[in-house]
Amino acid sequence: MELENQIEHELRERAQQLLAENVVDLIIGYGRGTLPNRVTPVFIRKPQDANMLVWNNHCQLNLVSYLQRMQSSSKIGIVVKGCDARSLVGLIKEKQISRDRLHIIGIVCDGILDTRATGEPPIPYASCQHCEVNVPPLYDILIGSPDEIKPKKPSELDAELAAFEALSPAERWKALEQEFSRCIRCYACRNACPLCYCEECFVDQTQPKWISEGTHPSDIMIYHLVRALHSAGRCGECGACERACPMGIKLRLLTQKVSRDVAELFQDKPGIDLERPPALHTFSTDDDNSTFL
Amino acid sequence: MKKVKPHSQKNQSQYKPSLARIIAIEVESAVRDTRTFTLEFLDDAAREQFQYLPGQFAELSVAGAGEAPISITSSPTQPHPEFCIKRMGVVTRAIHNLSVGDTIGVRGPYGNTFPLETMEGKNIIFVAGGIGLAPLRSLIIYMLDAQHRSRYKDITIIYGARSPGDFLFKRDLKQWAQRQDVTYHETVDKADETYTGKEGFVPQLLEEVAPKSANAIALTCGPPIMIKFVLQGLTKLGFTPDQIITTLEMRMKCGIGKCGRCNIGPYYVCIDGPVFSYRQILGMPQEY
Amino acid sequence: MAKDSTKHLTSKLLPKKNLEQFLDALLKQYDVIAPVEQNGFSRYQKITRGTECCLKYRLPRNSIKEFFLPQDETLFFFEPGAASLSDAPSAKREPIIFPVRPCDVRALTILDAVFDDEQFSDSYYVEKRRRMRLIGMACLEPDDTCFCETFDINSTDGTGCDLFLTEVEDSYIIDVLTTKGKTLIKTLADAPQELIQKKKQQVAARRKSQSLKLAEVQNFLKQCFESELWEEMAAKCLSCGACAFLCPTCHCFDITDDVAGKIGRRLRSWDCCMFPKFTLHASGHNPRTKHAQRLRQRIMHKFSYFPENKSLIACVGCGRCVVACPVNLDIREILSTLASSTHPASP
Ligand SMILES: Cc1cc2nc3c(=O)[nH]c(=O)nc-3n(C[C@H](O)[C@H](O)[C@H](O)COP(=O)(O)OP(=O)(O)OC[C@H]3O[C@@H](n4cnc5c(N)ncnc54)[C@H](O)[C@@H]3O)c2cc1C
Ligand code: SF4
Ligand code: SF4
Ligand code: SF4
Ligand code: SF4
Ligand code: SF4
Ligand code: FES
Repeated sequence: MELENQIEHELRERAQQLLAENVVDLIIGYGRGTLPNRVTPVFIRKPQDANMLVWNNHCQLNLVSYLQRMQSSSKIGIVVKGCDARSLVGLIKEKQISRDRLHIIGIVCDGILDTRATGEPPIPYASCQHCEVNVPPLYDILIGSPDEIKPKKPSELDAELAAFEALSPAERWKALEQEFSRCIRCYACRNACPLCYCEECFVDQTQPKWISEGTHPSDIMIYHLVRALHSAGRCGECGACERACPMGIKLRLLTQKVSRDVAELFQDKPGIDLERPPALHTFSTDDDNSTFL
Repeated sequence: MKKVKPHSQKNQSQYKPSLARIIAIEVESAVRDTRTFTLEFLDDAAREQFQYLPGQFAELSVAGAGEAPISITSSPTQPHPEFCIKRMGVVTRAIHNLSVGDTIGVRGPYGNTFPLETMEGKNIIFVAGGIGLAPLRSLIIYMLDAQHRSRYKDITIIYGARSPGDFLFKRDLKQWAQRQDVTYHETVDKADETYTGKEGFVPQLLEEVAPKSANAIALTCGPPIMIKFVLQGLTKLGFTPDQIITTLEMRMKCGIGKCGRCNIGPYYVCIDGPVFSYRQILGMPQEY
Repeated sequence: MAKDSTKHLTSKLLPKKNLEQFLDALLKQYDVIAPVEQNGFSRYQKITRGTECCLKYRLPRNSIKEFFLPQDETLFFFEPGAASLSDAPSAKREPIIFPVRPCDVRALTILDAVFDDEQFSDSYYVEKRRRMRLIGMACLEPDDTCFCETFDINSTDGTGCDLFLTEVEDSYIIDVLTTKGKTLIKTLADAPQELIQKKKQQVAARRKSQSLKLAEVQNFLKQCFESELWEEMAAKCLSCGACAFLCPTCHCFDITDDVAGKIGRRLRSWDCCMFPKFTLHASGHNPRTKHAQRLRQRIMHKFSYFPENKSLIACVGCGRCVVACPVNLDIREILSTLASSTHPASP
């Protein structure tokens, strides 16, 4: 809590400065929510409003998804956690946003609490428990001290994903079907994801039409599988999709699984290195082709 | 505008269409991919039930493609319902792919009607652009029918199209131009070699014709930009918002005030419209 | 709806420990829909055994509307190309929902106003509504996100239910409100007078859900259409369907054709005004392209247009959208922000 307060304090100070000195004309950050364990995005344009910014272990949103909407601002300050910064790197590499328009306020993050878990004490999200990017890979200013973070064991799989990987293909399919049977096709997952920025998502296309509007399991599955494939090699594992889901669906089983596969096959972690081209945008004769069979 | 009391269909699926056979297809405009389909219901009950008045529309469907709301372009004084359809997307394309003898689904009639009673004893001015003539044609034919003609005074028709090839219902236009009891004017945005008539936009033609607003009602349908200038023109000519009638188009699905899609302010275009007075439109959110 | 006005026949007693047994007995004859534990919340779904029912959470994440207006509903079947249509088979067993909270019951009257109006009655909805039995349950301790009180909903009143349960000590007192309800509790004993008295005291002392100061919501919203606040408030909206799909009163839908091989169906599926494509014309024209316009439609429809047409506010304060919105765009805050913008003086 102590640490959080320090970060919040510094964040407000720096934000105020950035706005006052016209380094940026907008800061996208977290503000106080209406429920005890929620924060809400805030868009700050005046230095005196900088004290609306908060930082705590409920800052679960990935604010990068708002960047493309902010066409009228010439220079944007954005508050990012490590995982958010990975998607930001991705967007910059995919030329969706110009690096020059950004002033990245990186925050050293020790994990976000899982609001769904009902037990005491509260535990961080599974994706946070094994996070390897507590310090954002890209930033202009960094708030918080990396030394205060207990090192994680990155190579270790989290239990849920490990259990999923241990299943046979048929069992996996069944597990996914079970999980996605709750899906109401609200598309909060897609809309919360910074990398799902297509002008028209394939699910909305009618000519040709890829899936029906109903809730037949195969239609829902196609949506999720295609989304996972579209984000393969790009997903920064921020978990924003899963946390946006009102039905508590473990989207990570798909997105993170695919990410891990890409990482293994191509020795690439998306969103870490701004210079390295995205794995699935390149082809090398050394690539592991085992997945093509 | 008149609300139409539907026939009681309490225990019947509102969403199941009646089936009709296409008995004629007229290519209206090759340039604009517009065709008129004449239909005949497969069973008598459906024909009986389909009692409509000018201004109403129906949901037409092709099994496998879906449904689309289309104005009824014929008049109830004619033996068969007709629909003039422009090829736009999935459903309209599927309809265009049908041939004479094929079946098509019809739900309706839906929506309100032109204010037939309020218009009685008045001079009527029609101002149409392009496919906007489709809903107005129903009313024109209705008024010109021997049964109804005496209820209305002078009838003026102003019609414009982008090019000569864009004129719809050419057979009707010719008739209207020849009739003694109709004043007919037409214009094209851009003429070609074959065309000898007027060139210019509909609002200009309206200004030239300058119909009198006293004891008159003007009805206008067409592309939004044309409507905008026609409304200005009519206002300049002294027409009050109550004397101007138009139709609104919103995306629709159910046609019966349930699906929420056509909601604009407190109105549902599918049941409170599509016919509205300019006065009503002025009181609506500008969200159409 | 609920024309059956058998006033309060008797009160029955159901010890909590017998609840599973009670549900199992119902399951012999009826389809029972009840909350089932999920990942930190519950969800209404069909159960097969009484033990599946989870009452740990007050309101299940989904609303009961899907049992009247399913997200995926076949209007009829057809064979592409063939000139005939056939009806979808209807369920054999009659359904029961247990438990239904008073806010959700009120939501049904809002849906009734849409689907069972005098001009066009929707046989699909009406039929499901007719078959359904509702076992209600009183809320003595509302959640933080509950604001039913704002809309004059008494959370201990069972109007509209067939049976209505109130928790008293380790039992439920069951009020029998309709003859349809009476058939469900044949084997239960009458509730003892002292518990009935106790129930009355509890109801009188209940903690009310929070209520917003919304004097004449319809009127102040009328002044808000052009407000700049919409842009500001909608800046964070993701335009997803979470709020509308979980809302018990939202009822917008799409009609499309779904063909698989030789069999096709006309499908009714949920849709919502927050989706950009909701109002998109074939020509490409779209009257509501902006997040702000769509948020405004959602709020205006519920609190201004709908009341104007049906004399009912299309929100029951269940707070589902408050809980589900991924960005915490809180409908209570939207309303109070707008309200105070039109009455800057009031606190
Ligand atoms: C009251 C009314 C009367 C109309 N009368 C005619 C007419 O006489 N002739 C004609 O050619 N067109 C008319 N239209 C427009 C016509 O409905 C659309 O062009 C048609 O729905 C496009 O459908 P689509 O499947 O071909 O296009 P897609 O782009 O594939 O549309 C998909 C679906 O969206 C809906 N939709 C799309 N555009 C519109 C729209 N503009 N209006 C309503 N729903 C839409 C339909 O439900 C359609 O099935 C009318 C529209 C309305 C509302
Ligand atoms: S957010 Fe959840 S419920 Fe909504 S579409 Fe995504 S997986 Fe389905
Ligand atoms: S909103 Fe009211 S009725 Fe609904 S669950 Fe909360 S307290 Fe109960
Ligand atoms: S708008 Fe929100 S609070 Fe109101 S009924 Fe719908 S989900 Fe419940
Ligand atoms: S218009 Fe929007 S708010 Fe109203 S019922 Fe439809 S989805 Fe809900
Ligand atoms: S208000 Fe929240 S739940 Fe509703 S569309 Fe916007 S982001 Fe989604
Ligand atoms: S088209 Fe469904 S409400 Fe108007």
